[in-house]
Amino acid sequence: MSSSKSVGLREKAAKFLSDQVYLPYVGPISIWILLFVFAPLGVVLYFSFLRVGPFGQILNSFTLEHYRLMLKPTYIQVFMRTFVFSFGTNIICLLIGYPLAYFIVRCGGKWKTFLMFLVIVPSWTCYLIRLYALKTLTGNGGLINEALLNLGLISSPLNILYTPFAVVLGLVFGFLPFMVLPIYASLEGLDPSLLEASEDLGATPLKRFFTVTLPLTKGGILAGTILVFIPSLGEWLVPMLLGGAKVMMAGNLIEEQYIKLGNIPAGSSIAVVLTTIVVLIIYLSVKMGGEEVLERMM
Amino acid sequence: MTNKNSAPCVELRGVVKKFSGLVAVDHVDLKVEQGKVFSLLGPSGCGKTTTLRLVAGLEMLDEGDILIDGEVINDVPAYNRDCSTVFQTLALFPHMTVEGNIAYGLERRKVDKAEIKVRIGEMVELMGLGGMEKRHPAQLSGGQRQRVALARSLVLRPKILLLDEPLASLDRKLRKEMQVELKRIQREVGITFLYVTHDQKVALSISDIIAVMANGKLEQIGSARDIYETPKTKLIADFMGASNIFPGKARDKAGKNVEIETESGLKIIALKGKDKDGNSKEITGVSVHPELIGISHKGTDVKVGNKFEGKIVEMIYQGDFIETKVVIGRTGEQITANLGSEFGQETQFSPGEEVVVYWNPASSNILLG
Repeated sequence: MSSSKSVGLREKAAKFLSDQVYLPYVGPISIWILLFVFAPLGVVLYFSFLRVGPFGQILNSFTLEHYRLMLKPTYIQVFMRTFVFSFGTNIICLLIGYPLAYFIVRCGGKWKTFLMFLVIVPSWTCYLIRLYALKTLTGNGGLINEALLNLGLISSPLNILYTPFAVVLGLVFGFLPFMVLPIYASLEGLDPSLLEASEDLGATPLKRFFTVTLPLTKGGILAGTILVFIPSLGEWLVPMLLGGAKVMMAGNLIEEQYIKLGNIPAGSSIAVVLTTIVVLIIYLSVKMGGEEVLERMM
Repeated sequence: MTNKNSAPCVELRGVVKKFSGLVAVDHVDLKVEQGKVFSLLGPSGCGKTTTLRLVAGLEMLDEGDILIDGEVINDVPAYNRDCSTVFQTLALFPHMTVEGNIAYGLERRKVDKAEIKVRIGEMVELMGLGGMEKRHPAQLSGGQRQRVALARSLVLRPKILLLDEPLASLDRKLRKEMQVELKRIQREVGITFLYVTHDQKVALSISDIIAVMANGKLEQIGSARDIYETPKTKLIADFMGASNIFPGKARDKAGKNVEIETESGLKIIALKGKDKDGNSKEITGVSVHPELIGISHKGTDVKVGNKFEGKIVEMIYQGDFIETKVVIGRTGEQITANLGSEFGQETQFSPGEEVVVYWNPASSNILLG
């Protein structure tokens, strides 16, 4: 399905380029991308190499000191944590999201659209408000602790807030719909006769899932991963509200440099490193067979 | 192969299937003999595909029994039934190669690797798929995909192969080729086929036995020739392409012929022998296939039992024949005759001409209630 289509796409692209009829089409979008993607990135990249003066002013001279800063163990630790949290968030979203999407597609019947609506509805509320709600729920005097205390299940409030658990919970809470949606779409697009054929050829329901359903919805999983893992890497609001100073992520480092310390070049260098890593991950996942996914997303 | 040759390969006993109260399959009884091609023929929505899916185990029945090789399999799930289906959409796994698709069922049955290799090799040769083993379904032509779907099922050596209009998606020429091919393969492997189709031409050319279904019920079972030449009811006659159907009542049953009079008073003679059920059911009409009807110029002395004078109202060119419509002057019935072009018959007649239409009483088929 994918291979012949992508070959066709490539041929079409080659013809498109050689005919030079693309100019009127790519003109406006190129200007848009140049202005709003590459220009800001260029500015950030430029600033990241600039020296900072004694009064915090930006001096127009070249330095690599901000990049050197990143070799500090605390910075490396925060970066590692960012990866572990994002990866963990992605895995948890997948483990919750796939069965959820599967259930909605298989058992939803006429309620399918409504159930998907329920999945999406929370993301219509302001992200900040939802995070504060979560903060209230998980805090020492929050609903969860109060309930557990009153039920006599625990004797002192659980420490949930300002722990890695709270941060990952917040990330999963925020990004789950973005995992469910593409998986739902790929499950919906799965030809039911393939499932019947699999059963007919002797596959038990479990075997059928692993030999047909899962491989054919790989695209949805990859798309979901791109939508969950990558934004998690740059997330700063969740760790700030739910992790406090104890559980920082890379985004918080940038925020700290830009806003609290006013050190734009140092913040820019962290942003450059993070962006480079993200671009690398996208490139690798596309290389590893995500081409089909991108095609679908476009 | 088991030695239960006495038991039919597949048997349905009083099978009923309902979908939210609507009866899709209504007390169907049938037996498919070992090694035969058995077709279920009927218009869309007649329950033929549901019947097939019941045998495959993709639907569960509400009443009755389904037996494979004499054993009741009502509660056996599809993945444990010894039958295999070729789907209308083919349902090839797009993420697997031709080889992977053919191996799928064998792998599920835990056949060992070496054996799988040998059997894939055999199938590839039988189907003429050499060199395609590593391709994905999207890289194959329609006919090749068809062969892969067949190979995928046949490689399992099922007791019965269930085919759900597998040729419907092919163009006319390819369909004809595959029809011949299917017949050859069936002869070579000797596996029983249960073939579902709405295409009477396919059914006639491929089947040993045809069962015509309508509204969830079996209407008639017989050889291809039986079904085509002596359809029992108006519905079957219509479905088998007998465009001349005349409802009427038996008038005179004396002698070796039966005279049937239509409502408008046309008297048609039919052979009594054709009335196979004896006189147990009431005669409700006559059907005649258009290719059995001849046309002559007015005034020609035709010595055939059924002859009527009329006027040509329409001639439609169909390539290998001319569909000619004649209105009988006295009673107003319209009769369609297919004029072959081999003797230049079409040039002898023109629309508006007064003619005589005629056919042998043996060509009249009696329809029962």
